[in-house]
Amino acid sequence: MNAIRPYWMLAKREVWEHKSLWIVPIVVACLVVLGSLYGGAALIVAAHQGVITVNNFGTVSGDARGGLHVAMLAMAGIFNVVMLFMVWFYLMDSLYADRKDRSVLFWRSMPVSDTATVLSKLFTGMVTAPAFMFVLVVLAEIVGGIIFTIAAGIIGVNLLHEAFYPGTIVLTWIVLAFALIQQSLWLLPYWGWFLLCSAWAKKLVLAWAALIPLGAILIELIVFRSHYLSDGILGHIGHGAMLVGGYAASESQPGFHGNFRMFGPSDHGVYTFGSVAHMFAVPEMWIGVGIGIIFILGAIWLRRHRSEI
Amino acid sequence: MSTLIKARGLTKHYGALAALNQVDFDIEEGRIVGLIGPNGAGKTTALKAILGLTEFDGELNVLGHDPRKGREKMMNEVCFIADVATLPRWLKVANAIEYVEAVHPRFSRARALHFLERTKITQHSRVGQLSKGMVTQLHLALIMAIDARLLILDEPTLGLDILYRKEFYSNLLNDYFDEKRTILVTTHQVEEVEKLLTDLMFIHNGRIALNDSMEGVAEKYAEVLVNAERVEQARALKPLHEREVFGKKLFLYEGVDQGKLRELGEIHTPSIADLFVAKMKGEMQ
Repeated sequence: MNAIRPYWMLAKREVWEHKSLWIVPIVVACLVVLGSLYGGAALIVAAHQGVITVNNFGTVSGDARGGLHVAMLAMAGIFNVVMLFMVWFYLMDSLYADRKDRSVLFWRSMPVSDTATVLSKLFTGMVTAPAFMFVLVVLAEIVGGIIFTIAAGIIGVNLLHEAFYPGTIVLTWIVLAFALIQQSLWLLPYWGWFLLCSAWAKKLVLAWAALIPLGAILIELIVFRSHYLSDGILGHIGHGAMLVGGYAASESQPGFHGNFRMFGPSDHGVYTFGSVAHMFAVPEMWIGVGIGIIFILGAIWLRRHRSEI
Repeated sequence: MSTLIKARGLTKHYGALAALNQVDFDIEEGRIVGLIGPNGAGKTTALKAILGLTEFDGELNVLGHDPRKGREKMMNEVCFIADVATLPRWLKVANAIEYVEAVHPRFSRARALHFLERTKITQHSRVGQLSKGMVTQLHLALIMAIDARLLILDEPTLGLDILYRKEFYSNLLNDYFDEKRTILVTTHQVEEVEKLLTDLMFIHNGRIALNDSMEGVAEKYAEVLVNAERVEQARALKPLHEREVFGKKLFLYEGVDQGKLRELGEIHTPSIADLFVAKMKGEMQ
């Protein structure tokens, strides 16, 4: 336990400093719950006004399971977009803010290695933030589910019977957890790049983090008339963005051949692990991870040798 | 007594400028060493090299570690305060204590709380809400609660008002310093540390201009207040520096027999500030 304690504290420190990492997702969760309340109320009002009738609402088709699954992942998708933006800005700030206010001198006066420091930032972006998001999604979905069940019950529809399949719900959460792990790994080159820029820039981290890759893409397009970089950089992030909440088939993309249908309905209409696991077999995933590791090593080196602004 | 820091041929260039030029020095355990020099003389560079915060050429051994390689282990036994207000504004006092307690194996929470009790700092305040003086008190409380062998202070009282400055050094001396600990301090406010120091090191243009214990300084350097009629006689003894005080002349000598000097007038040990001015002017001539 004593060996873990400093690392645990480093992770905790990040949450102290970057409160927005947990406040913003909580706000999103509250909005989702408010939205459910509104939706539930609207449902009751609509039933009373005869806009929908129990009969035509109550005939839930066999796709209900699939519909529930998609709805749950779509809700997770909202959280995920917010979380990714938070992590993006967090990582750009994480090795820069303390250099700017010179508190890096305090942090580096402690017996903490620069490797541990940089990895604690990465851990926050790759593990803490998605894990926290996952918990919020589950809570929001439970609360939202209860609200809709009650609302539907008021108008005489038993959702428990019609639409909620415990197996589907739990499976969706497991798939979501799995997808979040994949997403963190898939996006590693970007996280590494932001850490590198954060450790390197003397100001305007965002400008450097965005302009260098965009500049490289433009130069390649104009000078060499090729688009390897844009395919690599923008294509990779495009796929990454589809991981959670996405069931977009990317068959048109070379190299994917349907592997991306991780959430695509299987023959049974329920989503399986098998399709999800395919992602780990895509070489692009591991090439990205390799590039990410190089960026992270660069960030550690910069932290060690160039920590002054 | 063992040597804590040993520097041989310590050199650091910033472009063409040599911030440290082939510097040798030893710092022994249980000493309070003042590193004094004009701006840009290389003081901070020397401290940064010792702390492993900058690269350098030459040999440097700090508590048995090369700061370039063994920094992380070295920092278990080395603390430093780099001028005031390097604690981040968002940090809560309670969190600061919790953090240091978790990452520093030699930190004592009880000691930190004991030091904080004497101040007006409360656990739930944020660093950003504290005055500059209080931030320094907090930082000092955290650092003094660490059982370190070497404490490095770089202008620790810069910009503080006089009450906090006095308190800072008296706390260090009364509650922290003992024969097992060593303090290395740089400051512009030489008068403040004058009575504190056991050793004095002047650094100028990247070189050590003086490196001696305070006893050594008292033996080697003397100031004599000379009446007008004996001025020529005083000048014949080749003073390092002379200046006028109330119509008399004050001469500062290096390495001149104190018996001889007594014949000229009343002698005393020069203050660090006067010695510094004399040495620096001597260097420049």
